[in-house]
Amino acid sequence: MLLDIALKELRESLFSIRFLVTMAVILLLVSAVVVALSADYKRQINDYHKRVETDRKSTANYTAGQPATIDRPVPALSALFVGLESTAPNQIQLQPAQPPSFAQIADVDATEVLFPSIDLGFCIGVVLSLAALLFSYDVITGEKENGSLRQILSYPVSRATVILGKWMAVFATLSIAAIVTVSYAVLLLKSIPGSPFSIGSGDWASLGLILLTSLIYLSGFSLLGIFVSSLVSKSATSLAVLMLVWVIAVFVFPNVSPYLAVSITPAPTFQEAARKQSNVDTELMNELKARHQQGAKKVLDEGMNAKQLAEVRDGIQSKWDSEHKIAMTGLENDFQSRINRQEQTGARLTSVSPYGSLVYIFTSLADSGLRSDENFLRQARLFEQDQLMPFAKSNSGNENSSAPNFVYQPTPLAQRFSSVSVELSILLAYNLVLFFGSYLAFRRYDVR
Amino acid sequence: MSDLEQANWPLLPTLSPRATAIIVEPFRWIAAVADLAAVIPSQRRNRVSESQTWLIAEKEISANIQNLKVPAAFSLMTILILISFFLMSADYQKRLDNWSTNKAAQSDNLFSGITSYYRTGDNRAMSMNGNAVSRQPLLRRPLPLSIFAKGLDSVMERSVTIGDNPLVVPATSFTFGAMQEKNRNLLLFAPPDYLYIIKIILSLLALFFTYDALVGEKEMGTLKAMLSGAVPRRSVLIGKWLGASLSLVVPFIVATGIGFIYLLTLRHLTFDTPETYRILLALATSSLYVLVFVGLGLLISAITKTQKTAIASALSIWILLVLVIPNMSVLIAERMKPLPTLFEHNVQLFTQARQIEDEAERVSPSQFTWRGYGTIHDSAGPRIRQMVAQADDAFVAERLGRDRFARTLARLSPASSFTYAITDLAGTGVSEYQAYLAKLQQARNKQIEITNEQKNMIELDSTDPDSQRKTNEKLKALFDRGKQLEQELHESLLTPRSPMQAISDSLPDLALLIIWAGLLLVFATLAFNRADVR
Repeated sequence: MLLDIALKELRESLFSIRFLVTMAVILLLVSAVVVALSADYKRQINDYHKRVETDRKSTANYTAGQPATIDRPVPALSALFVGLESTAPNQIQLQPAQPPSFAQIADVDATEVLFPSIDLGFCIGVVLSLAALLFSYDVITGEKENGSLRQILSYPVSRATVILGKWMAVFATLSIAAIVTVSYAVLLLKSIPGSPFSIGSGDWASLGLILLTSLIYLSGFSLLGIFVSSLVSKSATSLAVLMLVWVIAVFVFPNVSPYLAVSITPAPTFQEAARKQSNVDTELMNELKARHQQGAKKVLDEGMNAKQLAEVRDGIQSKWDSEHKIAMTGLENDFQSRINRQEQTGARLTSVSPYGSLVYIFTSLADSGLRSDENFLRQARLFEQDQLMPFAKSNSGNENSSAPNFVYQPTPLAQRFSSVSVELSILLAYNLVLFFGSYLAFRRYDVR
Repeated sequence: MSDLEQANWPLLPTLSPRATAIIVEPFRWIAAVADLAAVIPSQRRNRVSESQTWLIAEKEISANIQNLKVPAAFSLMTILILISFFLMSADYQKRLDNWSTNKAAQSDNLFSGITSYYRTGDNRAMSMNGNAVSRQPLLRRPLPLSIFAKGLDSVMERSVTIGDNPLVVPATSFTFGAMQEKNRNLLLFAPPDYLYIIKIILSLLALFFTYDALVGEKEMGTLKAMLSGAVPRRSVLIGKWLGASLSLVVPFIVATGIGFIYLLTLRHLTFDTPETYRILLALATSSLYVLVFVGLGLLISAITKTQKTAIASALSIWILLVLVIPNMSVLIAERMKPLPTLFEHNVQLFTQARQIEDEAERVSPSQFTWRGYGTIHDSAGPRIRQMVAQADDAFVAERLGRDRFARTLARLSPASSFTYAITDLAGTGVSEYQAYLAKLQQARNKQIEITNEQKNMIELDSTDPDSQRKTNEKLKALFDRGKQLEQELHESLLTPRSPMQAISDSLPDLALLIIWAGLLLVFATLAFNRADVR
């Protein structure tokens, strides 16, 4: 009986005009979005290749005390899930006396800030969720209004079966929509002439997880629709309530939460931290001058030759370099940890909204989110410690040996996945709660 | 209450007739006043049909109140506006503190902002008595009106240094640092400012109020009943339009008023007269925006056959107009007009600078084996500076040109016109950004003059024991001039452009919104005239 109900519902909705129109609208939108984003993606990739060429030589400068620059490649899936990529720092400068510092090569266009770009995440999170609501808002109330609900229930079929069957149908419809959308987007992106888009093996797995997450998300919204539909008696009311919930969940909550987090978990402003840093910097600089003066005096007193003078000077300089670096790194870590706490609070708050959770999951799986900066920084530090500093020590005079090359390791999939485990469980929890809610509400539903 | 008044949306139990009468009274007055005002124009049409329009409008308003659409919308608006004002004013306060810290640090340092006249190899400044200090970049002061429309305020807030170009020595450029906001979460979603609430929530509300105005009554059968009386279709439509507009605009203005009372009392924010004018104009623009979507809802209601189709179309068109078109226009403009990236631009500058140097080296070969980067050859320095300044200006101009193109594309949607109008009024829009860049360019040009003079001044004559002192004096004079330039720049950056300029910038978009509202009303009337109401 369950399968009968589910299949009947599925057949009805798949061949209905609203499904066809939805698919047409979504595919049109996705086409426009993908074509538009691909140009941006191509530009970023070209930019990256050019920068890597130039910066390859700069690692040799590290020996001479000049900054070495390393670049981060553009993650493949960020062509579809933009996240923070457009403002993400994609270069790090390494210096002997400073902690690694981000450089922001991306130039910000005014209109980009006013209208943030829409990506596949938007299509799935906003448009498909709306479609989910539109497919499920009249699942119970519509049948009540045209009288077929009491006919179904006059048969020996349990209410649980009815609800389950309806959910399966709506979910199947939306799954088809989601799978078609994502596959179409990927195929289109690959087939655009001149597109540098290529998916590595790790990215296929990410894409699979992204698809899975979309299915869970859309299932949640269809359950929401079914839940509200089994609470009220008129379709119009159901729609009104669902629209209100949708607007708050998608447009109000995720935008309000980060700002709310700032009020809950205050952090020092950037200029305060910069002020502290520049004070410490000035002290240390004066200290350096004093040490050099002492060194010079020592050289004069003891009558050292040029080689010994060089040794004394380099000794003072390198010792000071590492002290300065440690001090600056400490200050920066202080500041960064306060900011991270604030970001964490914001993330927790935002993930209460299913759309917020979805955005975090997408950007984390596509490696274009908040975590990718930390990953880049960590790799930069390791590269400096393990490769650059030994190279500098052993090659102080030798200019001919080849400098180490920085190879960026994208975040392993397991790590990307585990960093959003909370958000994923929230989405699953919504599904469970709403399913039981629908069942309980429908049990008490007046079908006359 | 008649069936007519129980029209659509039977959400919850209705109010008592007494309560309704009390609530509807003020609207009756407004209608009466407007009725009077409508009589004044020279073209007097059929008096019967005029009062019928107002009757229908009144009925719409009271229906909207009774089925709790208006109270629900009003509560939603008030809550959202209060939340928005609370959060955005806290954000503004934080950014203001950030700016004040920087300002205080500026006056601490001997060298700050744009001037330093003796640099060591690793880019630190050394003062005359040899104490090292590090440079403080400049920050533009955040605007109080950014509470209502954050717009480009965070972009304009980026630290800017006017001085030696880090890549192309000895050129002078203005370089932007990173954003002041280090919490990247805030960049992931749009800020929930007043502009956002109106643009997204209020337009949706307007569509909800009107999407079933005609099609719902048709499904219920009351539409043909109404039209079978001697009620012209035009009256029905304009009456519904007026009713929906008033039910939305009046609560919206009251909710905004409550928000302002909150800002003035609990947040102790004050606005001077020019700012108040801007705010009032912004309020008028927002009401216009609501009218646009009321017209759109009525048009959809007149065209579609069933309520289900109506809501689906309304939502799709809303997504298209408010979310898709404005955001896609940026991407499309980028695709149609690819421009070199900042990195490519810098590489090109570097190459050209080296060419100028090579020229100078060929003409008068120097003794140094290490390339002097334009400091060895006196002729090369000023030429490099000029070349870089021109190239930078061209780069900025191209970007702004592409921006203008994107804006023109975006104006296909009333939501983007609305965004531009409000951000321009608040002083955080694109026009303000352009003016800001122009000020920076001017300051940079003045700095180039100073640098050119300075390079000419450093001539140490080893035979003259006094030459060191004389040079130091000249350098000090130059340094003072640089300091003064910096002060001027600070002052000019503190104040945004005048309100008249801001208002005149927003006028084209305001006009567009008026045209949208008018056109949609006309189309709705035409569509309804031909609609089948059976």
